[in-house]
Amino acid sequence: MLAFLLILVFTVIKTHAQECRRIQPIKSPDAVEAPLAEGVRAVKEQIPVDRQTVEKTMQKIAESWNTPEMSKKLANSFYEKDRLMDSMNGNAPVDARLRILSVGSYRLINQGIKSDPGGDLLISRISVIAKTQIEYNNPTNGFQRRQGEQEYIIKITQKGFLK
Amino acid sequence: MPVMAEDSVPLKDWAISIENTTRYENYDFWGDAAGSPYQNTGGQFYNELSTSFTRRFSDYESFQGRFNLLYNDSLYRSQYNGLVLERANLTWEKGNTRLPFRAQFGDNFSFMTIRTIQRSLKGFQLELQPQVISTEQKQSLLFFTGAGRDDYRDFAPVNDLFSAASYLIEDKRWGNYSFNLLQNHRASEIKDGLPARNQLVGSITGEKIFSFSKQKMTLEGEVGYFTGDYNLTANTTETNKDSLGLFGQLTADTGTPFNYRLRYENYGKNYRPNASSISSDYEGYEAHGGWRFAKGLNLRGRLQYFVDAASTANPADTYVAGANLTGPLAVSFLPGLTTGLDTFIQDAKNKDRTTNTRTANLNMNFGMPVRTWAAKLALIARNVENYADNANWAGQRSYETNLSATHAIALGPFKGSVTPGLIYQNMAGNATNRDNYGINLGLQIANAMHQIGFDAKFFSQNAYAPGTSNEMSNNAGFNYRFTKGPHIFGIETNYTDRDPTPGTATGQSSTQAYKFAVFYTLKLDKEPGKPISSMFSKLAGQPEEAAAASTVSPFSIGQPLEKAVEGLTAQGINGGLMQPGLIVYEARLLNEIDQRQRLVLLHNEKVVTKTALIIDFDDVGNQSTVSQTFERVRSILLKRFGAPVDAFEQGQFSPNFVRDVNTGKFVRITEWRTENGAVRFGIPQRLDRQIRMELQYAPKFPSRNETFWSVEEVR
Amino acid sequence: MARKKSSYKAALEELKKEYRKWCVVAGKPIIPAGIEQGQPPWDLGQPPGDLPGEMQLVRTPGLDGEFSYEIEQVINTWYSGSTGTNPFSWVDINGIFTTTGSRSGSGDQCSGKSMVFDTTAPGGPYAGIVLNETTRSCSLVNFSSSSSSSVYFNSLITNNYQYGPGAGWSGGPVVSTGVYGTTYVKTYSKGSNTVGISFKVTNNTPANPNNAVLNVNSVNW
Repeated sequence: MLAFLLILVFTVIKTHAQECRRIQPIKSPDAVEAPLAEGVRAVKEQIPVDRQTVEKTMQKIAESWNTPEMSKKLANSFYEKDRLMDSMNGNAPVDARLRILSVGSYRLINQGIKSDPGGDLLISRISVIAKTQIEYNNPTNGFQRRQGEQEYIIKITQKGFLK
Repeated sequence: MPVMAEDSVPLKDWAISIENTTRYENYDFWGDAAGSPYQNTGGQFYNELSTSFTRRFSDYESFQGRFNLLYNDSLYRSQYNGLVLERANLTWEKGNTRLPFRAQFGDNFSFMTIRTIQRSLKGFQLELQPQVISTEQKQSLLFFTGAGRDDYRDFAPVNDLFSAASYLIEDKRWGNYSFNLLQNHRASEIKDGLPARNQLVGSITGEKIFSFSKQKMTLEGEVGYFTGDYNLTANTTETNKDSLGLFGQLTADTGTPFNYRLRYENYGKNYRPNASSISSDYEGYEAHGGWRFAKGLNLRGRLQYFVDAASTANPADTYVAGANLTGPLAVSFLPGLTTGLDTFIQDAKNKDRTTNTRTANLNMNFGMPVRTWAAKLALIARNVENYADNANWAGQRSYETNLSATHAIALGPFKGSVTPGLIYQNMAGNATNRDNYGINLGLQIANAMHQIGFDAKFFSQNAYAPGTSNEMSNNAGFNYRFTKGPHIFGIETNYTDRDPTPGTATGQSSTQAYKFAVFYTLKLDKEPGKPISSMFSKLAGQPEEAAAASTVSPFSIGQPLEKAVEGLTAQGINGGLMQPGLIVYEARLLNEIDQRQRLVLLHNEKVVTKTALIIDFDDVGNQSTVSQTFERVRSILLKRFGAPVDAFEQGQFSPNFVRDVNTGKFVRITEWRTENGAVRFGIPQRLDRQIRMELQYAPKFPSRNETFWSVEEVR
Repeated sequence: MARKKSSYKAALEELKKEYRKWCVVAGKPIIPAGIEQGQPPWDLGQPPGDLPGEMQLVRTPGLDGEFSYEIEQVINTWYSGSTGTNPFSWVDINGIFTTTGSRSGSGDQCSGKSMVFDTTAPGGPYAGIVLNETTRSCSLVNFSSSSSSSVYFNSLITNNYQYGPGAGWSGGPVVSTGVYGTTYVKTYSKGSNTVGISFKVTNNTPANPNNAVLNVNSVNW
């Protein structure tokens, strides 16, 4: 019997990534405690996300590009998501792949914790800069490379246990 | 020896974390340079230091700092050589004053709205959240000024300086509204012949939730106004232009399985804020509808109409109709089948009909467990028809199929998965007659300290049009990582081999390229309240809190049986019932748990081979007490033993809890490693169908797929 | 024996103390047993916050279930600006992979290229496009007569230029009213082969209308 290890719950932190900013409450004695989003609480001290996790995430992003997984990895609020997926599905050749040439600096933007029956989820929003290259073979003109450097805003969910 | 006073221990109250990565890479290629993915060859090196430090003064006040410093000698890592400060941030947040504020210096992510600014800037940001009497309302005043830069080298903010103010009010009854103003200044550039450019963007947004004929609706909108200058091309500028940007969206939840969303966007020709990623001169009209079936199946439909270059003499219209179905499909002879189906038809044409295409696309994805494999199948069909006046090709179609399967593997202490895959595509029309096929293999295994990954891809492209060449390519990659305490060491290698028209030389030749990388990362942490030396204790390999007393506790495996029994008697734990091969005591070792506990010593007449603590549930029929009790015990154990090396769970606590455990659908296993062996906690399956929690201590445990790991002899 | 008994007792007491120390009852905040040396005292009047403390992360070797991710936004960095290709921008994807572009063979030396008219050409100045329908190739020449090029261009007309098909090619009459700076799309054929050419002729300097440039945008067979 094959069993999959983790059942991960995706949550929406309603700051950023929406059409307009929402208030990120500053905890104060008078204000009513408000969660960042459904079930998501603030952390006492921000837990740094290490470089290995960020590099692995960028690697996975490159691996899922131009595969059926790509659409699932884009947030619902990704701007013009439909136009991007229609373009990929309609135009990208089957052998086009994305290579990460380097992972640059990254920064933790905000973080929250959500309880889950299976443990606790640490949700971190990261900004990371990466140099990428699209590669594919054109039978007429040969090997094609298209480089670029982008800033990625990614939400990473890690599973942990509260101590 | 005088003891240092508490106050004089430096940085005592700070939480500090440091991570340093040193990385060396080497790239090279042979053959045709045009075929190599790596254009810069040779050795590349960098060293990166990232630090974060936090001080919490009270529940409501804290100060945090973070910075990333790079020493670079790599053509891939950064455009600069030498020392580069890439990111730096200091944040001070104080809530226990009359005017709670959050101030940030350095890097901050500046977000007002998608249509004004949504970018990382380097500068200063201040947010004030004035208190209002009513708990139904929250307000925020945001000011920021910053430069659009990726690092702090040659930092001249005036080249691209943003300054903004925003007022946001959120009211539970009346909705959320904001007023935003953003100014951008770009200095003149003599090299490109550009003058100084200024632009001002203002916007008003609103969002309101209301009910209308039993539907819960959310209406949101934004009106933006742009005035100023922008770059038309790299060296020409438009000055003193203005334009409106409009956005509106209605999202409705009808209370039935049907929900819908309507969206409208209209950006004028001159609506070009430098920090927004929306497209100017664009109109978009969208209608989305969704139907939620039972058991997680979701159907979504969309109708979209876009106009690009709307104000020019030759606008482009795109019409899209699409449908998307995802979720599990209940087909009786295909258990566990999940499906993703995506199809769309797109009609794109511009006014003078130099572009006029119709694209139809069908994308079917299936996933299903097959014996011990998780299989995935994708079938993709694509058809493009061209009606443009000047083109001489009528259509192009392609069919693709993509099959892969993942199998979990375990080799001793190593666990992982292997994934083979196949891909085949046939294209025709428009001089693209082609047969492409590929085979790939992915493998990864790991244990607590080592992680190994390997992947290989073979791809063959066979084109049948004059003037084209075939191509075969191979790719292989290997990576290894070693982790122990604060040290991480890794190797990554990558090989690419490309051979156009193998066997014949026709102007393009083959290329082989490789990349080799090795890195070392050191992570040090210090908790608040501990001295700085505690950061370095991990380097010596001593854990801060040694798993205490495992050698002399009665839980020791391999202890002579008599000693163990004596030790327990000394604690007042006696009266054990003897059974063949084991002794059972009624003993409450966890005082915090009221449920019945029994301690079991399993032996081979001479030494203790395994110990177990059996904890009963009060009422297995009551789902919430069962899950609460379980979680309570588990959190005690997590504090005691630290992070587990394995946590496996399947299924949820539900009213059918007993049945799920006994059919193997509900599994909970958490495992820790200690010096003498392993500790396992969870809810095992039993032959007599009794349900209870067990904490066992043994040299090792069977694989997690064996759910019958209970101490069966003790009923 | 007594020594061993007492060491067992001490050890078990240690264990029990550990359990009691970190006692957690579901729903209630974590209450430390006592302010230990080295811990900062809480502010007066405010109870210890119930914000979650340190998290330890599960390391689950093997299957890559350690974490999951979601991409919210991808934009070009400040440095790369609008140069470079963004793999998550539909505009860039269309730009690289669009199927409505030129489908000429490897002999296409015209698409995107320009040729200055040769003012020394007798009867000219001329520029020309040479097409080969069997290899689907195209090249630009700057001296020719109308007979040796497939499509020829002449800029000697006042305020306009002249263009038309050359030897063996047909698709329209010779046009003498070509406007400088305007893009034209014309179709020419030879036998059963047809080609569409998009071109524009510009004046290099208004003062010298003989010094014109032929720009070819695309050639579609």
